[in-house]
Amino acid sequence: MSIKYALLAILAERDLHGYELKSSFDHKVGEFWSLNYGQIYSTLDRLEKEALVTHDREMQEKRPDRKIFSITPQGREELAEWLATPVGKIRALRDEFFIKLVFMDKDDPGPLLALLDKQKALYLKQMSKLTQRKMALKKAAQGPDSLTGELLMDAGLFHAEADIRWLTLCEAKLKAAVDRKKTSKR
Amino acid sequence: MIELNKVGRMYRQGNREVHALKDISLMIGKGEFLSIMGPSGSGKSTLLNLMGGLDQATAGEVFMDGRPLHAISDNELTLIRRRRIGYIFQFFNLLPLLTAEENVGLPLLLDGLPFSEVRPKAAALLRQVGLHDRSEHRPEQLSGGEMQRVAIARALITGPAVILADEPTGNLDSHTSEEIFLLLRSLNEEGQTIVMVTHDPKAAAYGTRIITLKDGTLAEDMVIGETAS
Amino acid sequence: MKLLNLLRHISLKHLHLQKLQLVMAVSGICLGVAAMVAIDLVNRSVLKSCEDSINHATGRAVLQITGGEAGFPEEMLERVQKLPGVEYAVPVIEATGGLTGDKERALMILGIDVLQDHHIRDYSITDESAEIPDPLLFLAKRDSILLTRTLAGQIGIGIDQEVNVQTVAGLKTFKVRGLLNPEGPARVAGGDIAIMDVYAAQMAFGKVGSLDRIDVSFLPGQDFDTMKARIEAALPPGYDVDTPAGRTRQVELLLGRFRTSMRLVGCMALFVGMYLIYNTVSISVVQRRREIGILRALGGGRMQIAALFLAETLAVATFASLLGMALGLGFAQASVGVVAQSVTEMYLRTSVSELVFSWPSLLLNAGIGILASLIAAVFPSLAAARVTPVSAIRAVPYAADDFLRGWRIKFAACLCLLIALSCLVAFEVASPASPAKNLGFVVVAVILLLLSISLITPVLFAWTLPLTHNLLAFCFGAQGRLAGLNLQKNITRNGVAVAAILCSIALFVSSANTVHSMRTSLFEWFDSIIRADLLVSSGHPLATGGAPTIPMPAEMLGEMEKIPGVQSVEPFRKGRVSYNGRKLMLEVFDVALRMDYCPAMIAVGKRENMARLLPDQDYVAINEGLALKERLRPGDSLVLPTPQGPVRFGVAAVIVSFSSDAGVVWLDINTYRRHWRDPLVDTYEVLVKPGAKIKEVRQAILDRFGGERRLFALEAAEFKVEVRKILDRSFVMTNAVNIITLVIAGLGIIVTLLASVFERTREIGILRGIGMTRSQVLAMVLIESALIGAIGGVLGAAAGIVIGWIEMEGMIRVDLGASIGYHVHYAALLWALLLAVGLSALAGIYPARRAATTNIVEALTYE
Ligand SMILES: Nc1ncnc2c1ncn2[C@@H]1O[C@H](COP(=O)(O)OP(=O)(O)OP(=O)(O)O)[C@@H](O)[C@H]1O
Ligand SMILES: [Mg+2]
Repeated sequence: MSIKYALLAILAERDLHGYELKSSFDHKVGEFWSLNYGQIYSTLDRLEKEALVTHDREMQEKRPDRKIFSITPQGREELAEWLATPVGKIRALRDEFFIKLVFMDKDDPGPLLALLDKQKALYLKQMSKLTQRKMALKKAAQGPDSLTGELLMDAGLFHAEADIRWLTLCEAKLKAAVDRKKTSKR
Repeated sequence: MIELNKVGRMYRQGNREVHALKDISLMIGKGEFLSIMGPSGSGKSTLLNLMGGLDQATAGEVFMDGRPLHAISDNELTLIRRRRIGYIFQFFNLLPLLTAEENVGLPLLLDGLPFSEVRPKAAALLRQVGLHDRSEHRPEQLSGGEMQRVAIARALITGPAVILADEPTGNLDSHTSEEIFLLLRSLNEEGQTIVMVTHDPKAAAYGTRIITLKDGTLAEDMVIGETAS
Repeated sequence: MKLLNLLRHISLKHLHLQKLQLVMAVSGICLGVAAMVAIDLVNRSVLKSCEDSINHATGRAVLQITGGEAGFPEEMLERVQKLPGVEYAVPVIEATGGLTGDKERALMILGIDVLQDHHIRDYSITDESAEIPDPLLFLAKRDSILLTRTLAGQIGIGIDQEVNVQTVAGLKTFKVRGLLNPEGPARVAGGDIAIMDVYAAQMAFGKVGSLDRIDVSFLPGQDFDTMKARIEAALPPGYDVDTPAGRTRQVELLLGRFRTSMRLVGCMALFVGMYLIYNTVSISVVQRRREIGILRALGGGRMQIAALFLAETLAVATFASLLGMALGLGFAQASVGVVAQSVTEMYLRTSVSELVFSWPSLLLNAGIGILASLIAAVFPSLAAARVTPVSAIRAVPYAADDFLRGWRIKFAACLCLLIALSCLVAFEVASPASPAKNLGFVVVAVILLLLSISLITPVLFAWTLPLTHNLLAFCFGAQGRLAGLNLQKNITRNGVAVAAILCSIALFVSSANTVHSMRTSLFEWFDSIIRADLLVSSGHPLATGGAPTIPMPAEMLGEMEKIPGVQSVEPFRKGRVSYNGRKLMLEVFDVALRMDYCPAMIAVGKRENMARLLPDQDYVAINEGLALKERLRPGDSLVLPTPQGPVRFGVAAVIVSFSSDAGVVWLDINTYRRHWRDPLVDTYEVLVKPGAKIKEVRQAILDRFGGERRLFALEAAEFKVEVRKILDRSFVMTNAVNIITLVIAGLGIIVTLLASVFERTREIGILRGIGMTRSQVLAMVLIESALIGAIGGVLGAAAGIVIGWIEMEGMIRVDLGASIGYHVHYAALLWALLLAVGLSALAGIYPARRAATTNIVEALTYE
């Protein structure tokens, strides 16, 4: 799974201990993907078992020792291979909204249409925020990191756009179905 | 800035009446960046044309800076179009035989300024939209994005109170579109009022307010960002 | 098949969409064909009526024997009658009289042998004349006359009533003994004819002992040529033995100038029609570039595209030409009367009773119209075939592909110009007899010249335009500046419009100039030969023209000189004489007198040599037309038949005279009388003593002779006015066709500008959208249109002057002589310019108004 490679990629830049690892992760992709410490540590454990990562202990006064993680040459190899491989799987359709759609009453489309509208509005607001962030990023700094940020922002925008377009399509098709029903009843 | 009061636009087709717009009331304040969305045929272009004085409402009132667009002479309307409104069309509508610079300067030429005075302003605007090295090109020698930027420069040259844009990136790629929107957005941040019709949610997200039309009526109106002041 | 499909699916829609253009193009061809049809029909009808007159008057005669103007001795009749093989030989006196009464009316009087003549001619007498006394009785009464029923009805005269007729011997009174049904000779001259006994006629018209003509028929089985030779041998030299057909050919020669000038303007009308087609098709190619591009992209071949446009032209031209046939018939019907009158006044008596309707001629003219249209459409159709598929995909503006400004076009223009020039040079240097002296060369040259001008016009336009920029900006402000900018940017399209206007105007100006030159030359010549103070004639006041006259006796001269206030009197006599198959006009003066008060216009030769014309030297002067056609120069000589036998005359000089298209010979009156033995005079030209009042002298002359005969004494000025009227009438048809040309030219201008402004509907929509006021739109289009019109008009006027000169050189001077001057018709130039500017502006207003007032949103979606 890709948490593994994300952690490897972060460690490839420099050695970090667990806490630093999480904040770096959040900084880079936190926008879309939130992790808790448990997930991080269990993944690190797995990586150590596969010998892709090792750790050193760092002594601390008054506190327990900290583990500082670093990537092994094997790990680097694996990371390079992963980066070069295209992603085979399409995004999974297990959005909460889809479940709602399945269980909504299709004979009385009123509530569903209202929901679609609200959902769309929500997405639009999100997009507006993303756009503002993107522009702030653009203005603030010029560098590889800000470009990555911008691209991720764009990805978010495009996904949201796709959702909005899909919602619009749902709306149009539902309406058309209702119209058809009305005319066939007459 | 722009105020619409129970505006309707009806077309007659034989003896059938087609209501492209019904009972639209809307206030657009200074500095707003309003996006108009809605399905095809919902009346977006019609609405924009009414605001721009290109078309006349068949019902209701349209005010621009407090002047009633529905009740003034064609000449006054034309002067408003020339001096107060910058219109950006979907298909650019540049005059094919004029160079970029001449196209940009056209509204001022119409106002009676000699080209020698118009030229520096046009050149400055072309620089602003990043086309200073294309000023002698004719439209067919420009790409779609470049043509649209020329059109934007033309819309800006009179320092209009409002810019109206109808799907300004309708047939441009995402990257080029984004440049156009960023340009519009930065203009808006400097206080320029903008009204833009679009199908593209990404584009709409640059705005500060989005209205949605459905079957010629105002279906939704939401503020999504703060208006620059 | 494919072509038909395209025509049905595409062309029909366009025809529908471009109704206005279609209407204009159809009117253009229609008018052109109508003009040609009308001219052809009128020409034919007039000629036919002249021939008919001759044929009715000659009846079954196979040969006609004529002598000099004053007739020949009547002994000749017996000689001919005695010849073996001759069936009948009947005497004829042919004279002109004037019916006096409320209205002056010229009358042809035929003196015939009452007992013999029915063998040659058929007469039928109306019922009320049934108890006509036997011929002997008719004969016995010298004052007997037969009138036609038509004429009698018109002047309100019945049997046994008296009519007064003006004759050589003064006023005579005749008694109407019977009326003729309109048959045979009674149809001559539309019925204005009277029949008398030949001996009575001899007495009445001072021709005792002589005859004007002998009409001969042969016994069956006689060989024509041997008979003709036998008759000629039996007569002294100097007699004409001719067939009636030979006489009609002479009529054709006589009407030569008239017919040439009519045909010329007909050609011009067709030229302009052709240009209209060229123009319409070009515009349609421009407008349909996108469509052509799409067709090409979908797999339409070049030739298919060209064929499509040609087929469209064919369809339109066929329809328009058929319409033109009908319209031409109408024109002909309306104008034939005036033309016939003019021919009567200028050449010979005729009255056209009906149009000669000939299907072959109608169809030929329609065919020429169709062919001309197709030729005109070839070039733009080929241009259509050159449109590339890309132009459909990328909406490249028309101006951007510089097909019309490329080196190919310049090359083609130069080539056309070169060929045109070589045609002209070949024509100029060729001797009159060589095959290169062909009208075809000139026509080709003119067409090529026009083509090269229209090809080069965009370039010319591009040069001219910058000159107007500052002026426009200065005069008209923003819209002026914009108009200038627009014109400058779209040189190709506007160049095409300018070319269209240029050609229209050029053709109009050239034909106006040609006609004006002929008219001016005629007037100048006329002014030059009329220097007397008073012109005294009997009967027709225009004794000098080709029309028949009633001569006066020579003795009047002496008596007229005695009238106080008269300084000198000069006799003028005219006649006809055969030479190489032409009936030359003999103009006889008192040369000694004339040389100092009214010197002739000399075309070739020295003025001093005119003295050779003086009595006792057999010299004549001839006119340019004759000199050109018979290749005679001063110093040459020509043999003319006289009643005394053939006489060789030297040519003293070549003079300017337009009296007759067949040729004119000037002769001193003493020389004439010596050879022709003819004492009569047609006109006395009176010079009044200095100080004497012309009006008084005139009254004195009228008083002196009033009792004996009716005289017309016209002051020179009045006379000239009359002549001008008559000459102007002879140009009536030409002027009408010129106006048609102008109308077609106007249509061309309108089509061009309509198209070019309509094409800009979207552009005007954009301009309106970004803040151009309606009045600014109007002003802009108006300025542009007017400017296009002005530039086209000026260039066209210049080209028209050149083309007019070529036509003059190639078509008129060849027949009438080099001294017919080229006169620019300034009024026509002014009209042409006004028309070009005015019509252009007007034609711009309508579409501009439409574009300015249509909904901007709609204008923006206009394709
Ligand atoms: N000239 C006209 N005559 C009749 N109906 C018209 C006319 N112009 C527009 N309409 C109708 O008015 C309605 C609104 O048209 P409009 O062009 O404003 O739609 P739109 O929202 O801009 O659509 P799109 O997104 O496709 O551009 C449509 O139903 C259209 O058919
Ligand atoms: Mg629209």
